[in-house]
Amino acid sequence: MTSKLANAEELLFRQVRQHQMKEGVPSSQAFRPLPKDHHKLSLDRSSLTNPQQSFDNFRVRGFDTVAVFGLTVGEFESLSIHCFSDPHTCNSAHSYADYSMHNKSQQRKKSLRLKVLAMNRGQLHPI
Amino acid sequence: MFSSNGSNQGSLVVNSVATSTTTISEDSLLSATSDFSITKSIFSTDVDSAPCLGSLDELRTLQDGWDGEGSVAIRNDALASAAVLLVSVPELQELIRVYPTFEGGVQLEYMTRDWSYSLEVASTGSVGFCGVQISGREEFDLEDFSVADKELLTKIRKTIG
Repeated sequence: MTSKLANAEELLFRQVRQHQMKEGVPSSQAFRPLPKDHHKLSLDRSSLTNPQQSFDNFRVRGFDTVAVFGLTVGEFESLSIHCFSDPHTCNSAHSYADYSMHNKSQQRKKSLRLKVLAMNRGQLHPI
Repeated sequence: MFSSNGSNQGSLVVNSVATSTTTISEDSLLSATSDFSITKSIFSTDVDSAPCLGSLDELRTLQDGWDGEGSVAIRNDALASAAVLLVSVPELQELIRVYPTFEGGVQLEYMTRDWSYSLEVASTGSVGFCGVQISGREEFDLEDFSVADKELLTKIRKTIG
């Protein structure tokens, strides 16, 4: 069952795939949903996991990741993107940011802003 | 590497890091630019001085499914348009990072002067250009340019110049 995340300070972890990283810099694509994602960007909650656990759990489940970046619920909210808890049986920390209110152009621009915010915070894992 | 090759005149020869050799046809480049001088310039580009063209070459190794179900191999038209952009605005070569897109296109991103920019080349070769001011709320998003569109090239140069 999903519920809206209310703590603006909570950090959410985003896994970045190999092809979304170049010379330590993530693509803005890493911070917006792919067409197959139905406007939902998957994230993990820092209140329930940490960057290394999030990274390891992602890989154990067979997914590609080379880096973890973080954005707060408040940073998403500042761009009118709401975040929701969405625990799965294989990942109780799973959550998502909902981009469905925004068209493709808006999603592109917001992802550029989120990339900058994430880079300012720095790569969280591996470090 | 991108290189001209006397035995393959009419094609831009792309020698991958591995053993295979593939080509972007001159027709693709001309279709992207409608400007033979730009096409000729790409043919004569020294890749050692333009490593970002090598980054484009790397994308050619990605097959359908490279990023899971539904991801598409990077299309020649996208690679050709991206190469044209990088040669038309050589100042970009120092700034950009090259990424593949899920839909078979190419993304070129850079940051300069308090702005973050993304050039997104669709699988068809058409180009979108968006930017956001890092410390403010200004932003823009321009879509569906031809890679040879003077308005696009002028806009890109202004961000760098």
